[in-house]
Amino acid sequence: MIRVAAVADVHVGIDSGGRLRPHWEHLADQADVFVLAGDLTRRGLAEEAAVLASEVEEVAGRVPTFAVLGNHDYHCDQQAMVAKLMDAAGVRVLEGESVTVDVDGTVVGVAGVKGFGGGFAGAHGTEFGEPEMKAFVAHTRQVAGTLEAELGDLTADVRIALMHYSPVEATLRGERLEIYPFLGSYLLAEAVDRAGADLVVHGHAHGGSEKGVTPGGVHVRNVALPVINHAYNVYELS
Amino acid sequence: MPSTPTEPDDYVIARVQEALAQELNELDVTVTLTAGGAFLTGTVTTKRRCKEITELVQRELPGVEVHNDVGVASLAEPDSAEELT
Repeated sequence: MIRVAAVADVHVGIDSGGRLRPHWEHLADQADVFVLAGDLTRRGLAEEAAVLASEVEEVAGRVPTFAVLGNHDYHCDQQAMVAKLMDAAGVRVLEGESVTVDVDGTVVGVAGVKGFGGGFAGAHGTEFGEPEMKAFVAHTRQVAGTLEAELGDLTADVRIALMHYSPVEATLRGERLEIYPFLGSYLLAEAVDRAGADLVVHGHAHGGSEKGVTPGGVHVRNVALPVINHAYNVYELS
Repeated sequence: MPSTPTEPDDYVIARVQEALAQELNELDVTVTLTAGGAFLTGTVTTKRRCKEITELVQRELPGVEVHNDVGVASLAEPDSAEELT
C-alpha cells in the first residue's frame, strides 16, 4: 500500500514564511510520497519560491516530494527560477517529465505536467480560426501528448499523474460553468486513460470538488487547498 | 436635467474582479452587488489576504458597503487517509 500526501494552490507569498511548515510536520509519518499540484506561489516570483523552499525543505528531506508548476507560477516569467529553487529544496519539479521512487520495494512512478485548458468533451476548443485560438488549444494538445508519453514510459507498480489543470468536469463542480474551459481539458483525461494510471492529482479549481474519475475509470482528486480545507490530504493506493 | 447614467452592475463587478486579479493575483473571489451593498465570497489562504481584498473593494466601490464573507482555508492536518480501491 502506498500513501500519497497531496495539496495544491498553496500560493506562497513573500510574507508566508512559517505558515505551512508547522502543518507539514507530521506528513512524513503519514505518507510515502508528497505531491504539490501547482500554484506553489502567488505571483511566480523567485522570492516567493525561496519562501516555499524554506517551508518545504524539511518535509522534502524526509519523504520523496514532487511538484508541477501552475499558472500563478508562470505569471512573472520566473518559472525556471521557481523550479530551480524547488529542486534545490529537494522538491523535484516535473514539467513533462516522469520519475520513479522505490518505497519499501514498491516502485512508485509520477508523471507531471502543468496541463492547460480548453474545455470538456463536446464543448472543447478547436485549433481553428485565429492564431491565438490555435495556439491555446495546440498547447493543451501538446501537454496532453507529453503526459501520455511520460505515463506510458513509466515502469512502476503504482502510477500517479500529477497536473495543475483538471482532466475532468466532476472535480470542477461548484465552479461557474462559464469558466470550465479555463480550468481544464478532457485531453488530459484521454491521455491518462490511454497510458494508464492509478491516480490523478490536480488543483487550480478552488471552488470545485475533491472527487472525480476519468471516463476510463482512474481516480481523480482535486487537492486545491480551499477544496480539501487541510494542509494536505492522504490517499492510500493498494 | 437628465440623470447621470450609472455604470451597469455587470461592468462594475468585472472591473473589481479585474483589479483583484491584477493587484492581488486573486482570481477566486466572487463579487455580488445587492441593494444591501457588495458581498464577497470565496476562500483564500490567509486572514491578511481577506483584509487586503476588503480594502481593494472599498477603494474600487467608494460609498458602497462591503460585506466580506470570504473564508480562510484551514491548514489542519487530515483526520484520516482515503483508501482508493
